[in-house]
Amino acid sequence: MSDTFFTASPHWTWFIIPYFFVGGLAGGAYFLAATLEWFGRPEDRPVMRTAYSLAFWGAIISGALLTIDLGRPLRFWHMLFQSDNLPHLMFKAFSPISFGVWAILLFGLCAALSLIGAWSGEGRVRTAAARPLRSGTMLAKLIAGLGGLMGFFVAGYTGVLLTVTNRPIWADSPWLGALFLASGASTAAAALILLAPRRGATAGSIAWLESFDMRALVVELLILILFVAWLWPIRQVWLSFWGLLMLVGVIGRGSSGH
Amino acid sequence: MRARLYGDDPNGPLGGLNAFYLLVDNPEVYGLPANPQLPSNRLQKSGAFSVATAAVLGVLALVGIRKRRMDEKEGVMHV
Repeated sequence: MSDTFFTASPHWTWFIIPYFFVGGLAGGAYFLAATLEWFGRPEDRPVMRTAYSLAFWGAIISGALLTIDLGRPLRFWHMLFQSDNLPHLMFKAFSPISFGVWAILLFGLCAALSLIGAWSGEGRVRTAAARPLRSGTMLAKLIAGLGGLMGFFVAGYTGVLLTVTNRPIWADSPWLGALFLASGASTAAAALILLAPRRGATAGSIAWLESFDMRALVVELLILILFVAWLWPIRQVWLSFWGLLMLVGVIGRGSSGH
Repeated sequence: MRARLYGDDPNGPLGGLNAFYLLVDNPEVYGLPANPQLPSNRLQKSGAFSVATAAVLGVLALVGIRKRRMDEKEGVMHV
C-alpha cells in the first residue's frame, strides 16, 4: 500500500483551489504574450495587451486568495521582509512557500510593467516615463522574458507542491506539475481566443493562438494519460465518489470541449 | 506472524525514526506505512517533468510562429 494513504488532509481549502486555476491561467497568458513580444509582429499587440491584463489581474487575484487563506492577511508582509531586521528581505531557499511568494510577486511586477507598456502603446497612459516599456523595446523584451519564466513557475509549482505533500494521488504521480503547466497554457490560449477579438486582435494572431491551443491540448492529454497510468499501483482510489466524479468530469469536459 | 521492530533501521527510507516500535503484526494494522517515504524526495522528478513540459510548450509556440511566417511567404510567392 502506498505510504500516502497514511497522511492527514491539508488545512487549506476553497481559497487555494480557485488560485490553482487563476494562477495557471495568468502564467499561461503571460507566457503567450512573452512569446509574441519576442517573436511576434506589431499586429499581435492586441493579443499581447489582452494577455498582459489577464496576467496582471490574475496575479492580483492569486495574491489576494493566498493572503486571505493565511487567516491573518495583514501579516503577509512578514513573508517579504524580516520584521525585526528591516529593510532586509525575507527569503528562505529551503522553503517552497518563500519561493512561491517571491515568484508571484516578481510575476505580478513584470505583468504590471508590461501592462503599463501596453497601455502606453495604446495611448491610454500618456506619461513619457512609460514609453521605454512599450512593446518592441529591449526593456519590454527583457521584462517579458523574465515574466514568462516566472509565469511558467507560477503555473507549474503548485502542481509540484501538491506532489511533495505525500497525499494520495497527488504524491503518487510525478506528472501533476506538468499537467498544471500544460493546462494553464491551453486554458490561457482559449481565454485569449475568446477575449482578444473584442480588443482588436487580427485573424493572423487568433490563428496562431488556435494552432497553439490545439497542440497544447494534445500535450495536456498525453500528460493526463501518463498521470493516470502512474496511479496504477493505487488503482483502488477510483472506486470512490471522487474517482467517479473525476471520471465523469474528465469525460464530460473532453466531450463538451469540441 | 512474526514480531518486528518498526523505525529502527538506520538504512531505511527515513534513516530511522530515533524511536522504534515492537509490532506483532504488519505495520498497516497499526496505521503505520510499511514503506514510508520522505515527501521532498519527490521534488526532483516532478520538477524535472514540469521543466521539460515548459520547454515542449515553448517549442510548440515557436513552431506555430515559424509556420505562420512560412505560410505567408508561400502566399506571397503564389500571388
